[in-house]
Amino acid sequence: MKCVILFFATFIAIFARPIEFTDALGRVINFDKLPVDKVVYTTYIENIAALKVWDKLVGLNHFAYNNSILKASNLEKLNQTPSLGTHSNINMETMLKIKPDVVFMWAYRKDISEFIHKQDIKVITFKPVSVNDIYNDIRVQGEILGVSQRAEFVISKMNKIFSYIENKTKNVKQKKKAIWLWSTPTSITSKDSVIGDILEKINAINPFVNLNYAYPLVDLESMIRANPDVIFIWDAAKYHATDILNNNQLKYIKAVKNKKVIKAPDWNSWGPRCATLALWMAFYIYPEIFDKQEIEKIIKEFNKDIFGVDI
Amino acid sequence: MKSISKFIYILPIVVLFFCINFGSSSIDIVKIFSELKPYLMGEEVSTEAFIIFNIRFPRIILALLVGAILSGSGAVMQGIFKNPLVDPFLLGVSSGAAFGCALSIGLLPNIPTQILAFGVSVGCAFLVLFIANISGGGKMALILSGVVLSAFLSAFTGLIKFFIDPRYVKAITMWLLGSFSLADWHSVFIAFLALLGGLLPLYFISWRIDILSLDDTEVQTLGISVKYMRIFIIILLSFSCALAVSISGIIGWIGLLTPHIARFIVGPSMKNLIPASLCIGSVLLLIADTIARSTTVYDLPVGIITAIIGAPFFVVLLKKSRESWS
Repeated sequence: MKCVILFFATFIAIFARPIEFTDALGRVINFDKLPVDKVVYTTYIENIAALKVWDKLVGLNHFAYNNSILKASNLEKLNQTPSLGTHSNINMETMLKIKPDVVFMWAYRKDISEFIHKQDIKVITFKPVSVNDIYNDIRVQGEILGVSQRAEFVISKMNKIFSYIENKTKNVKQKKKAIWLWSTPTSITSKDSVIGDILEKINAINPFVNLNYAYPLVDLESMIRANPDVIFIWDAAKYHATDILNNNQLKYIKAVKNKKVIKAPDWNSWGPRCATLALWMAFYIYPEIFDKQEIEKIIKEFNKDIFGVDI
Repeated sequence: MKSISKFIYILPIVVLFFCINFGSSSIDIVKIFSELKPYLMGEEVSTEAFIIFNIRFPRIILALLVGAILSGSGAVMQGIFKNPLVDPFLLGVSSGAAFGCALSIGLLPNIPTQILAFGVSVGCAFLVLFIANISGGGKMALILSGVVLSAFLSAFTGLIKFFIDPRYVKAITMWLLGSFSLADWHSVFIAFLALLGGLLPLYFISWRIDILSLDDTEVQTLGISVKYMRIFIIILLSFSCALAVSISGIIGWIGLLTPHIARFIVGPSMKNLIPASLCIGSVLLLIADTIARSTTVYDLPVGIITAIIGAPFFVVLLKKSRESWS
């Protein structure tokens, strides 16, 4: 009898699924059963293709329809999936009509996530500030959607790229300074941000790493003092690399002198492509240790393996 | 009071040389001025000298000029509308600029924000004049048209903010809070044009503006067309305010607060009030911007500083200047 009880206890201990998750807002979300069948993605949208969960998708962020990966991955399903609005303005009527099992959203509007939760719909909020956070978020999504193995595969591929970068850059004799600019030329990246973490993993110096906020505004004097070797510009910024290069006030900055001001490609840094973005950035920071053709090959293979697309 | 009023006119120069010492970089200013000649000759100078001559100096002068424009415009607006709570943005210049900024950032990325902000705000001022004209052209019609058009354009600005990517919303919000972070000599030149083209002519007709503060029927008896005079003044003010807003964003409180301080010191006559407002406004905005750029490692939007200082100060001032208005 003891053996039977011990067997069942061991069985339960091994196969019992964790059905409790703590999200970015610190709330504990309980699930009665896993995996779930209907999901709404308002953030991490590229994970739909990466985790191959198109069949579970019932709603999307309004901006997902322009995403190059999603369009290339499953345009038909993308166009059939209803929009639920934007991060800050979610259409609650559509949400209730769809009645998803879970909503994945950015932790930006606590009130919205709580409102959805009150409608008896599970909401998991995310707010990654590092690459490790992205790994954890992919794991959580994989577990909830029943694709844990796929999630681990995605993470391992991402990790492989980061290890490749770290191996290449660990012995650089002179670390270079790099900054990432957002919507205005004085809106920079500090610590507690995915881009900040990527710069650290590339073994580059972020001169603004000691500021307390992730995306603060600084003055032009601080930019000149920081004197970065490379300046990256957010892909959706209204200004271009030429605006920085032709700005007479910034001509003393090394990156401007050496024409190392580059606008980033439209790769989502919150998702698997943060790895390829890191590789792309590493190439521009340390071109002497990376081979362009090899990098292009790695990125192409990654997009094929993870998203199943030839981009 | 007379000695204070004389001191007001040299105050901007004194504060300029005081504020040039503050910034995120600690620089020996006296040493730097030895590099002024090579800088003017277009020769290579040290990074410190470059920061002072090409970043800090234009920013300080721009703050002085924009402060002067907003304050001078506020003084004239309060005079012609006979209302102490009027500011230069009453006729929809700020909402027009905000809508232009949202249009540029959200929908028309190929058109520079400054151009759209200026174009829409000037267009907005003309629309206010048109609406007011078809409603009788009175003072009240002008104020109400401005209020209505501001609300109308704010709704469209909100609509753009609703539909665009939330990451762009921050850029619009920051612009609306006002900043001199990207000040250069080109923007200084534009602000100088705005001051010369808008407020200098108003100074020369200051006695007419004084007359406009009388009752409309009394002014008519003096042979002055109140309606056309008011339209002429509003066009000049809209031109200079729209230019100022297009290069600095929306900076509140300076245009409302400064005329009260100036009136308290030099009295209500426009001949004294306009230059005093220009000087005090420029000094106040320069101090606010110096606080914005030097008290933390961040570059705070100057509109936040003017509001934090302006609101409580205004309450005290209103109480003290009650008599000068009555």
